[in-house]
Amino acid sequence: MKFKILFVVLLTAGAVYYIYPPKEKINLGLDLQGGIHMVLQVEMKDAMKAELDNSKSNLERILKDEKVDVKQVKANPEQLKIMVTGVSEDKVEKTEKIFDDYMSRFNVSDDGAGDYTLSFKGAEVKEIRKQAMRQALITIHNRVDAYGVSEPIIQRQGLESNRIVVELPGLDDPTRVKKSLSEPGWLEWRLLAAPNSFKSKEDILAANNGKIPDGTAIFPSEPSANGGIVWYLVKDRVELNGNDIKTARRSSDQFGSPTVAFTLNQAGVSKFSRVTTEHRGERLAIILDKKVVSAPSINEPINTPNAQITGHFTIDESEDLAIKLRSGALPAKMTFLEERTVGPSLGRDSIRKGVRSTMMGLIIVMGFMLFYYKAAGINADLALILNMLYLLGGMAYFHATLTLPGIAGFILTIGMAVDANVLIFERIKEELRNGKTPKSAIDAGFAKAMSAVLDGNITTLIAALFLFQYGTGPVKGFAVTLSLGIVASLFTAIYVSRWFFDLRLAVSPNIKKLSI
Amino acid sequence: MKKGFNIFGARKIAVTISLLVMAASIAIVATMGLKRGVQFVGGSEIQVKFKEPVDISDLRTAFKKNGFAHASIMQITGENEFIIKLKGKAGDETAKGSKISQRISVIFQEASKEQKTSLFDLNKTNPTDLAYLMKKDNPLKIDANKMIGENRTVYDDIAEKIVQARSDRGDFFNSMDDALATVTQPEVKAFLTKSCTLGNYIKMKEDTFSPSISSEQTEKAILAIVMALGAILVYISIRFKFDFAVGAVLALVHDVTISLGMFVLFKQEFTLPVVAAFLTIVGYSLNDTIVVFDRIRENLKIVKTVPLEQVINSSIIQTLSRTLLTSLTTLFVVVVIFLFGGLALKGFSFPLLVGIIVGTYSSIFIASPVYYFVEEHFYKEK
Repeated sequence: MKFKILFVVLLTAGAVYYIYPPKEKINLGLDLQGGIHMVLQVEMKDAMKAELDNSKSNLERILKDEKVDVKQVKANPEQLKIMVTGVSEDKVEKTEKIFDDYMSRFNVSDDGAGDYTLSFKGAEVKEIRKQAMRQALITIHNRVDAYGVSEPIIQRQGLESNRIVVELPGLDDPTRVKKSLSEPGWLEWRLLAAPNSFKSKEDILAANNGKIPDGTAIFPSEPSANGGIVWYLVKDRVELNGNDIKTARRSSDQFGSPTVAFTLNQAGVSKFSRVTTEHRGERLAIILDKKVVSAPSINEPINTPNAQITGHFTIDESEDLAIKLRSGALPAKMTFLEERTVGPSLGRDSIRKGVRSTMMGLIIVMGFMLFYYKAAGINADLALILNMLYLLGGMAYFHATLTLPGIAGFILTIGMAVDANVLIFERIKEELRNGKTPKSAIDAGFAKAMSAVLDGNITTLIAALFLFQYGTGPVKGFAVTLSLGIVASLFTAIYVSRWFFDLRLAVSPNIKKLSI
Repeated sequence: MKKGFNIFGARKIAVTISLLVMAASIAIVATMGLKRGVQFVGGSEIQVKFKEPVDISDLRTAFKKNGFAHASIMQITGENEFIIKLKGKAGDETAKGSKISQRISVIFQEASKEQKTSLFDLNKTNPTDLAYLMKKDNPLKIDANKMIGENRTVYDDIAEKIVQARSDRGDFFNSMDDALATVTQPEVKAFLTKSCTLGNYIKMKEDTFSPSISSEQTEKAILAIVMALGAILVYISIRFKFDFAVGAVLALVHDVTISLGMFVLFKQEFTLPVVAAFLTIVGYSLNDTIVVFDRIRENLKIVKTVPLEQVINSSIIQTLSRTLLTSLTTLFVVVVIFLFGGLALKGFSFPLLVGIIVGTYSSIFIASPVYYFVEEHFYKEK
């Protein structure tokens, strides 16, 4: 008996300790505190293509270095294959050795007549996916952090999916953050193939007799302040890219216009120095996410690690770009599958209504129990209050999140928690009617109602479990509240309420009539 | 064994009625169709609140004029609040959605006669953004190194107080004086007066779902409900006997079918929380059935000579008060949620309301007859 009291008191004290102060201890879901919930999909095809292109340019470079002339090295991004055609007979052996030495990630098939097809090995495909997801998670983390969002949640949805869940509490107009998450941030420096810009794609074609030269591509510029776009003919070869940058920050030029200042790493410095020396007088385009930001002329060789990107930036844009460069590029384009935004007013309103409904539910149910079970109703009511306390304590302890459906689950628990009491009390009444003394009626009531109480609650728990498995965010919150509520109510109805009866019997052991 | 009403004797009538209602429910669902929420079809749903009354037909015209002829607009009864739904078309992804969202904001701006300005909107802001605005300008000139202790949260506290005051005033400030009434520092007051404005509308919430994710949601929802039913069948089979489990699960199918029929009949919208409600029905409406079955099991151990029919009938009668009482207490709180829980929880509590009532009925009139039928036809070895 004494041990029981101690246990209940300790548990209650523990619950209060974990709940107090509730504002800090109970995590509110995004639907209650306001914020944005997004599900992003990493477009794996993009990541694979990028990887394929990389391998292709590597192969081209090696073949050139080893003086192997081939007719063509072509990437087929749809089938994720690289085709090498027209290897002369005397170079076959050397070519195959190059494949063995440098292209071990590929399965090579000999198509005859000096043609080869290279395709990614199965394990490589998996590895690329894994790496892409990792990189995406890290990059998103870096970018969200850079905007100072407090307590963001960024995690992979499930173990095998290509999806990432991003939750940003407190924000409700995250246009900038969103933009930064959807833009990969691929930065490249490439030389212009034609010194001037063109008004349209057609102009470029016209200037080149209808077909652009091999090894070049057409890129649009970033829209200027008035929304105009110009077009550039750019060489395919990438001189430098985002990986060559050590750090970047917002800055301004001598006229006070916003720019992005960056520092190159060692590899970057040597690449930059080489290209600026060899191509003096030409224009070097800075391309961000397939749009030309600017294309300054190379006036003199640059050997220092520090440089600037100028363009038509606003202050915010230059900061956004600096963040993108600092955080690294995303491995692929991101698709927004789901986006839920809750403004700050709705959440507050929901909490207010939730608290009011909880109070009303409590008063009605407790009033009913008192009315119907008289003194025994006090048992049930005290047990119910403890139940609520334990439920909240459990939520705080497990760092569970209270969501709007979770509030509904909380109120529902009030109604369901007394069910166990009702089953037990009705059984006690029945035993009393059969002529048992209060003490043995209480014993029998608890013992015999037990199986029904347990089975009933376990089936509800099973349903809650599937709900937890199925649901996302808010619905999961409901499943958690409901499950914790069921467990707490089992404890209070079977253990605590029993203890109250025992307490009363201890005060007057020979009680003749039980108020129930 | 006491004799009483012959509830079990009425089983044929009850089962007939139930079968008819179930058939009607299936017919209703088949003909009227489930009204699926934006999560399940893809598209956007925006809830907007205006400071001054806006006429719904004006809003409809504005949407039509701006190229959203397919928008469905509904007013929340008694409020200056509207819910706008844009069904997604295949191939629409939400990256485009953000542009749509901006176009819609312009419609709201015009509908509420809000001035175009680049000032910070105190009616639309959340505490985080407002605190960020003040921290950037730092009107109190707090030394960055001294941002500790009370100083650390000074701007967060001001922001929180302002937003709370707005919420207490019904989500809108009418004047800058109202907005800054809780601010005591004159420097902050001056800064906010200079850099803030008061807008005429707020977006309460905005959800966008890509159609590619929504078809998946539907499958997952159905799968979750079916698997829960299966798991419960297994559990009851282990704890009781398979014939009890058949009775329990058929009673559940009965409850879910009729709840769904009612749900469709009353034109409720099927959303994610509604899936939660249906799964709760699956879990909860079983409780009453278990109470009855538990008693049948107990009575069968005591009396061996009484016919099964009679054992079932007295078991039902003996447990009748608790079957009704447990449902009643839960019904109390569900009604409270339905009436006072707000719009979002209304859709959630409606199926629960129906499910609990139907579930109580079925635990008396459906579960036991099914159990009796299976027992008599498949298990009796005489």
